[in-house]
Amino acid sequence: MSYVELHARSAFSFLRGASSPEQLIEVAGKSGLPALALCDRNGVYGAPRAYGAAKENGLRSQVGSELTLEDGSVLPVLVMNPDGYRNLCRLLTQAQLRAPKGESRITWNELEEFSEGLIALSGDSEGPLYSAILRGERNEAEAILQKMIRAFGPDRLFIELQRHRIPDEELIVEGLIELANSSGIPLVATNGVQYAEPWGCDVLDVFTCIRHHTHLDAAGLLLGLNTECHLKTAKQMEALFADVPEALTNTAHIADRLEFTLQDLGYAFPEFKVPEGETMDSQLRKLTYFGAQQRYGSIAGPVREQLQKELALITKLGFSGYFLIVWDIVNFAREEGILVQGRGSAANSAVCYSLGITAVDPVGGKLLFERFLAEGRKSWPDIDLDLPSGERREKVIQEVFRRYGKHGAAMTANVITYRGKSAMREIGKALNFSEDILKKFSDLYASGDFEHTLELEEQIIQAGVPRSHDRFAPLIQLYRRIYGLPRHLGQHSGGMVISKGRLDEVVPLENASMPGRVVVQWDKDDCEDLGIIKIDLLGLGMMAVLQDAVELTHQRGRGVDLAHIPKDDPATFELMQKADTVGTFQIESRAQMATLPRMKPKEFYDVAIEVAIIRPGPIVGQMVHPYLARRNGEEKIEYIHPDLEPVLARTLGVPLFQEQMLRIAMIMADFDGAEAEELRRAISFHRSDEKMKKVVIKLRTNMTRKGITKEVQDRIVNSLSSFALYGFPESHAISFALLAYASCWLKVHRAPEFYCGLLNNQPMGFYSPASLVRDGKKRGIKFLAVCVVRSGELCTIEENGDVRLGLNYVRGLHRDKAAWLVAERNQRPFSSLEDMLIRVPLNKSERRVLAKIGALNQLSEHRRTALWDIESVFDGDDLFSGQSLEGEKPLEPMNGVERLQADFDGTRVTTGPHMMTFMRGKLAHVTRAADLVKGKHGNKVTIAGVVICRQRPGTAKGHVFVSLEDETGISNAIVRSELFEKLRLTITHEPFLEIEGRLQHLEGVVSVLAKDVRGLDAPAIIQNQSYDFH
Amino acid sequence: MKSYAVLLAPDFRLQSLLRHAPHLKGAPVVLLDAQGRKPRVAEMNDIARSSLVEIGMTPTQAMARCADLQTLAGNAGHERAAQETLLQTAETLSPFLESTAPGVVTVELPGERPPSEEDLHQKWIAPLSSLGLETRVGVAATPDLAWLCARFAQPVSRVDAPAVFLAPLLVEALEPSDELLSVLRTWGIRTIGQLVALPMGEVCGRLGPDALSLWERASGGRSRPLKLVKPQEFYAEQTELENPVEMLEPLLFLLRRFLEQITARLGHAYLVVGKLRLVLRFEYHAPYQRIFTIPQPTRDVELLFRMLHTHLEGFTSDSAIIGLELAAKPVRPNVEQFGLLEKGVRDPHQLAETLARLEALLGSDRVGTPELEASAHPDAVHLRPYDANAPTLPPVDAPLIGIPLMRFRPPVPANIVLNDIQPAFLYSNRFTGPIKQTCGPWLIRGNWWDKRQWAREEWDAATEDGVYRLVHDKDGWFLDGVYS
Repeated sequence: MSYVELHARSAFSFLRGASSPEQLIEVAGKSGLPALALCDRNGVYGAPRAYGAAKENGLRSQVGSELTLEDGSVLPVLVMNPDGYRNLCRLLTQAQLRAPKGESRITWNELEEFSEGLIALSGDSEGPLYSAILRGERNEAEAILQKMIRAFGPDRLFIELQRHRIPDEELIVEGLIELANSSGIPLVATNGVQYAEPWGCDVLDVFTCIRHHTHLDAAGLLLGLNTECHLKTAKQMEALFADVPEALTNTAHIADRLEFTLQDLGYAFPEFKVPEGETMDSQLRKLTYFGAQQRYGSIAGPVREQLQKELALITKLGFSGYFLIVWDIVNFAREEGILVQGRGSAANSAVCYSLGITAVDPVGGKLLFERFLAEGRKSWPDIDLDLPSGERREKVIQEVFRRYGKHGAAMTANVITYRGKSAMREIGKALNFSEDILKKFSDLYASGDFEHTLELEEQIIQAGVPRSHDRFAPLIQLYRRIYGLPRHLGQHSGGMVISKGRLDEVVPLENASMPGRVVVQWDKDDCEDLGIIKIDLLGLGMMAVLQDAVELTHQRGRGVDLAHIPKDDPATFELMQKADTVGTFQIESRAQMATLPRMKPKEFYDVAIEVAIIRPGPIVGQMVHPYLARRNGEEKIEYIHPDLEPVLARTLGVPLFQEQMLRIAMIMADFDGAEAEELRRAISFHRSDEKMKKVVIKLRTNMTRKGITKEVQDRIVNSLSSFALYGFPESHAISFALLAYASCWLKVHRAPEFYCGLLNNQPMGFYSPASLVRDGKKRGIKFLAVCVVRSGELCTIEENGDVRLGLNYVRGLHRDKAAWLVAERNQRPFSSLEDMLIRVPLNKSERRVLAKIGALNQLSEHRRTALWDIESVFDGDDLFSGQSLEGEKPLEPMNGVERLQADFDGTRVTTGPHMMTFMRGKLAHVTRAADLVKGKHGNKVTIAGVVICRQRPGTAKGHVFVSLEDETGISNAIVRSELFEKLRLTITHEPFLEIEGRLQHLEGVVSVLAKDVRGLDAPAIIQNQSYDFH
Repeated sequence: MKSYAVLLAPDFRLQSLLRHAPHLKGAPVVLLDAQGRKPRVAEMNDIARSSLVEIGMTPTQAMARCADLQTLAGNAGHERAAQETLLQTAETLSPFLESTAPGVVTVELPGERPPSEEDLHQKWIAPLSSLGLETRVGVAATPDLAWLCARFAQPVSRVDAPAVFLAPLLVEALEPSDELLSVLRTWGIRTIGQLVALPMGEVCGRLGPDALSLWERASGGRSRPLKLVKPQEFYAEQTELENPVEMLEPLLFLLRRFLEQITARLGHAYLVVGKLRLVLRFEYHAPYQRIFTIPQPTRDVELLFRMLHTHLEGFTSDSAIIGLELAAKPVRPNVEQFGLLEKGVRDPHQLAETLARLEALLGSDRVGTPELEASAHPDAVHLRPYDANAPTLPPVDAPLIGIPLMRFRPPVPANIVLNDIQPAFLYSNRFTGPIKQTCGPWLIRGNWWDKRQWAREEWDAATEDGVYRLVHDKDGWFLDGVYS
């Protein structure tokens, strides 16, 4: 007898299911089930993954959902046809959009309205009938059944039987069978699957505890009674339902009626409105050639050829509308004065370049168009737009919502999964471990996401749970089982999907936590898999900095146009060669700064290589050193295979870019467009090892057929594996290099504007404002403290080029108050402190912080006289004490350390001396950062300072790089893995460190190999300012 | 002129723990305060302090400074006991005591013959040190000043010139509010001397009543009446026996005498016995301890004696008794009203004796009021001590379904012959014969996350003798009950 499981919940029911859709499908396949209907709670969250997995396993994945009704009961529905799917999506969207997240309810009236194309099952223990049957209320059960019949009709409604071998469940089953007999509604058996295999019940118990904010010891009857809610074979189900065989045969009948799969999604990309007489293809052609004329001057030779080739392919694939819509968004941004630049593989396209979407000339740069678009490609091309982060990007997003409507556009979701700290914390709480232990476990991670070398078991032991603890083993096991399961749905940072017609008929929409945003139930990969086109509107802090800095240069009468800054400026390259790149884009990290003096960039393409080279991919592949050694003439340039010379010549024989990997596959394994596309997806998608394995097998087979030696094959496959983890396309590197170069150029030639832009767009990058100010000072820029008489709401540049900190840096001063203050001052300057305090209604803590940081100094003698005077004013209703601010001022002025402390308390930054200046007297044995270059390689040395950065790249064998800042600059230390494990907490938690070790002075790069690390007993000047583990 | 002494145990909560934890001697130890969301270091010993651990650090930050740091959480019981010890010790010099704060006892000293520093050493510091509490003593004209003096005493100190003593102290010593302290810090006012040098009217005008009260403390504080307490009397009697007791009678004789003494003292304080603790010390064995909860607190010697007697009748030991102790936990007598709104037990004394007899027979863990546990296990129940005043349990709100099952207690061991997986033949003391029909299995499990884990398989089996419930668990097959 054929059995189909028609009621299964995955972990995408968020804490109500314990297996991923992929696990369910895999086990269903192994159990011999021909199909599986996934019914996640209030959504179709897991459907795309089930669909993808089912295709691979030769199963049919059917779509359904458990709907929470207005009375709190839960009704499973199954999708028969495209109409049913559209109705389900609209039904879910309607309920989701009117309710707070997680509280959607569907009314019986809505069920009637949208039931077309849907089959309903009567549900499990949460179903509408269960409670009435349990209480023996036959009449009530019949009345509910009648409501269901009204909504779905007798032919699309089934009474659902489940047997989980729970005591007394037979009474329910008997009641349901009686009801079916009396009403004529057919029966259907399901197993109400909540996990793929029996062990999933433990995971579900933990999820239940998390959902009910309790722990296993207290959860009692909330927990599963047994492990029977797993996927069962037809034989197992036959044994359970031998007395009602029709309930089993009906599963197959229902499955036959469920014709719909996600293949019939019905999605279409919106059409772009073109002038009369034009088609989208002709309009694109026209705009492209017009743009190319401006970009290239004349369209001839390779440019014409490339444009023709691209346009022909775009037309053939029917993508013209997509390019026009992206062009339209870019145009909107430009018209609004918002800096915009396409990134990613779009930079390989001459059409994108001509349309002004990207800023890189792919013809001049000989970039591989196939990386962007190829004949065999099934999915849409990927055009990502970088926009200045913050309000300007939001403006563009809101414009897209405005143009395509609330039900026509939405953000893609971001599936947050259980991993690391969050997983262990929640499992630990469910297992009733103390807060102390959980906190310590989390602290052992330090912060950020980085290669974590501490073994899980060891970490748990260090957190205070001995191996002998009877919950030690369950903790480990649960962690491994829960790891990677979805935790909740967030919003992707910038991915938007738009649709022709109603997007809410393609995928259910729901409210994002951010007001004004709507989000689809699928993440960007799911959308891409199903052919839904995504446009990434990404916020980039550096874009905001560049735009602000450029605007400031215009305001100051020395305007620059980023598109026209010289690309061969020696001073800019000198800055890079000296690794003086704090605050710049991409090349400011500790690892980048350690490479720049070795790399010595001399031309623009070197910057692109620099951007790409300090990526985990090339490092894993052991390729950084060969490239640098070859570049510096220390190693012979050689190629994996002579045929690859044309592909690898630009990178001296070392494969650095994804485009090179694709070409290698095309040359060495005769990959065609479709296979290259498969390879691209495998190395861009690090979520599937499976995809990678398949491509590797094909690659090896083809290479063997071509007689390529095993050694060469191994080298190629090794490079490929590295790229699969952290692939980086050349076009992307070039787009980023443009921003990196521009930021360096501004740092050299428009430094005040650059630093002002940086300070106004924090937090971003690797360095805190305090470090940026110190770096700016090194370049001769004077930074001025916040002042109520001079400061704007944001940081500004004074006429003489000094950078004045803005009121945005005052901690605890509300934005409205800052605006009020500036408006009052612009109306009429403040004549005295009394005048300011009367005109600007600041509360006590705002007055205190302004006085403390010296912002009132121009209206008072010094910080302490201001502190004394402002206490005479009382809060509330403009009530002024009437006391004159004149009279004795008994407080002494602040000394240097006090001013520093006050600056950090009030603004987290100081324009005065560095904090280490005040500690230097006690640190005679410590070498200053600036003096390290004078030391000899191998010398014993001690450095000290405030920790500004701790990094532990996954590629560095567990070594940690620590950057310390003192009054003369930054010193870098390398802490070996063993020492780090020994002193983990000291290194990760002390704000000031003293590091003793051996000086390493190699190829212009100076660092200290740590032998001992101690916390420095520093005054409580600052909190931890370190940006860790990027 | 009056003078006051403050007896202060620094890091009191930690000290009260460490006196019970000799194994931590020599180790760096901190006490964590878990009142906030995140635990923070609240107190520490000198070894931890020398490792630069600071108050307010998170446990992780503290461990970053001191890798082998031991972290402890407070223990209210130990703190109460330690505070009681401080009060009892302080009483040796004056009956006028105030339990000012945990670890702080303020004493009004006798005016006519104030104790010398040596007296304070001998009567307070030394005895407390032998009990595991390191203390300091400050003597001054006001309680506030004496408290400040105690904080900086080494270990005994007296303030004769308040202004000179106070001037160099940090303002924090006066424990101002966080906001006030923050303002004073930004003003650059660090010491009490700097504070009092400011114009008082101007400062108090700016900073309000908090500042005024701070000022008062900064000037040595006012004399104030103490909130006098009397150390809780410990109602206990004990004796070491010259001749070991081997028979019940002499033991009962001693116990009756103890009871008479204790109840007489309780009578003076209008108190009754809530609990009794009996400790017997043996020649060769570890001591035996037993706590008797008195269901209806009383000081009736006969009743209490009968309870002890009943218990001891069932008690045997192969070693002679060389010492005994009887302690009573005093409580206020219950106000009873029999009649219209009847509550309580008609004859509590009889009940107490009955309970004692039952406990003697069955063991104390098998007597009490049963309480259902929220568990799928059919026998998940525990007994809580009987309390006549406990509210009546609400009726069970679960629908009664199916045929009633009469459970066998204990379950009857059985042997089952299986046909495939189905029980086919039953051997047991109650019935042996073929199983005609089965229904099941029903599967339930629980506590899979620790060593209490269990799982059972239940079947309903129809036999000639009726329908039985069969259970299979880790111990084998059982007849669990019969449907009737």
